[in-house]
Amino acid sequence: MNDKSIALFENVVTKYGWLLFIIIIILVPRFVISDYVVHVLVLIALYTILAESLNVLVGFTGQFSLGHAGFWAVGAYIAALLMLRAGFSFWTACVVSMAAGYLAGLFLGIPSMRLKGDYLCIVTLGFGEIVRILAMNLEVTRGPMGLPGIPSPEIGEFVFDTEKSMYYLCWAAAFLTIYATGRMRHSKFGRALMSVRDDELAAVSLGVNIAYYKVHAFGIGGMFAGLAGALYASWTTFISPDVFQFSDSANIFCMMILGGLGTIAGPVLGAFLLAGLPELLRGFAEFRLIALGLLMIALMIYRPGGILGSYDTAGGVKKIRRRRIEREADTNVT
Amino acid sequence: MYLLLQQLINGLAVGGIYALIAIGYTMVYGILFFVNFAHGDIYMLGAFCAFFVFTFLGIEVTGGAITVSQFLIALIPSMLACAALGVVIERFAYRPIRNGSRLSAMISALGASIFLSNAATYLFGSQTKPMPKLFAGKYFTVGSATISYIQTAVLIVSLILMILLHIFIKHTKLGKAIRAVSDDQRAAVLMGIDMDMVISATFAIGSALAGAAGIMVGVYYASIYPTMGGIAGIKAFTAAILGGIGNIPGAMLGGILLGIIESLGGAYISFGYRDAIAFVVLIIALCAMPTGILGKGRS
Repeated sequence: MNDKSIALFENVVTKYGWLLFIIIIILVPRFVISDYVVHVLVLIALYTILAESLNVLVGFTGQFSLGHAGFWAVGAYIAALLMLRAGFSFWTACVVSMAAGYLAGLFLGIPSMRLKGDYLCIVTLGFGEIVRILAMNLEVTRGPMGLPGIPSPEIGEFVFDTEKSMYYLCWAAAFLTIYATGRMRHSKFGRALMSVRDDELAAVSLGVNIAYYKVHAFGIGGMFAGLAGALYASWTTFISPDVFQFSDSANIFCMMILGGLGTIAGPVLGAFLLAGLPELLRGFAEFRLIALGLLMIALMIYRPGGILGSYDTAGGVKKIRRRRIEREADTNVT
Repeated sequence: MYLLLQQLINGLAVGGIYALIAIGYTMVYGILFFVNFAHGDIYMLGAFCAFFVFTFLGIEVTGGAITVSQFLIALIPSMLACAALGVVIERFAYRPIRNGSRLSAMISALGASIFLSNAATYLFGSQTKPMPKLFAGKYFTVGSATISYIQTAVLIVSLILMILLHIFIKHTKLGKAIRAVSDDQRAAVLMGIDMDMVISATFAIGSALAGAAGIMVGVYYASIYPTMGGIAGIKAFTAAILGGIGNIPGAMLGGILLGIIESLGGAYISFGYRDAIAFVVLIIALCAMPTGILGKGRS
């Protein structure tokens, strides 16, 4: 394909691709009878929210985070406790857990003002572990026994207690997240985030308040992860600290990278691949994670920008980023 | 006072193991600037390798005991196997993307880690396997604290390996080449140093030390399982960062410090929060000293 036809293809895809995707998602439960398939698709919707929100942090702002499951856990536990102990409705609990995720993000964002790269990785990783250990040891969260019997969302008489009703709710939330992050990319706020990622020095000299944007990137990432947590809690009706491990943070991180860092469609594709493919390969249960590991290595060798990486990001920005990363690597040793 | 002394000793033994694993992280980071997430799984495979050597020698693994010579007989092939594995992983998972971004190296490392731990689960089964004990039930007392022989042995073996590594890095030609590459890659290559060879050597040494740590943990706790690499890897990475990543003495110091902080925190604050205490200390330490204890400041 020459450049012109690629551009045309991209145009069509970006114009109608999302519409087509939404229509497919709406129609799927009509044709799929198996509750199991719908169950997997709900999981994919939740992972889409998580990967997309992590993308705000890593893809837009360039702040590494390996503790995203921590925000997810904060959202899930806050929502579950409010519903179980304080008798909140799902909707209020959901808003509160988004606020809690936002605050947790601001809190974690504070060290990010001083740290970057691998140091930030380990601090965020530590945050995820601390949240899990707190959930394991606090009395109110009942430790490893977890919280059972979390109520389903309700609107008037209607209760979201079937897989299909939760499917629509979770995908609605996923599309909300996708829309919000997509809009953010083209807003003043999003452009400021990307300027922090591409070149901090240039951003400062243009009057971008780096600390503010870094901390708020964490806040917004945490907020959407909190939304995913609240949905997850009332979908499975049971949460325990085992759900929110480091491996989940790593998994979310990989979804975002495999799909295409900094793109909007990438994390969605990544969620389908990493949450959906293992379920498809259930017949080969023993081999699926082995294959996943090999797939990740192969992708990084043959398509380091992720599957959709080259479509959405401008080549120039990428080059600048690589140069910046190299420079950072150089200054790390000296 | 008794508790303090006892916990210091426990912390030193665990810290020695963290230090051995942390060295591998730090050496790879010093040269390639990425976190080798598969390192924890190499440590796990070291333990399993020792398990198979013991079975091969006909030693009773369940509740059995081994002598020092049997321990050494298992230690050497395990370290060699881990060294080979480290070199192979580098060759296939990291070398093709050496000139790519650090992010893709990190993902590739995560992939290698997922591959190794799941391949191990598939091959060896997911259940915990017993290991024979070294110096079972033997201990001596200092004041009122009891020190078991195995704790002393773990600490001594870790110290010997670290001293050997120090001599190797400081006084051999290959060690000098490793230092040169981690100081300035471009200049080192211009001086005729074979980068590929140095990187392979780095992976071999780091992996061999991780393998040694694996077998020592195996005989210390008398049990091994395929996912043991995950949490140990995170802890050792924490230790490497705490000491200043890229700096070998820093990794040793960070490992020992982390071990001590953990045991003291577990004893005086709460056992359940032991792991959280280590991370809280790390976060505070990093915010105060962003380059770690012995790390060089960024220019």
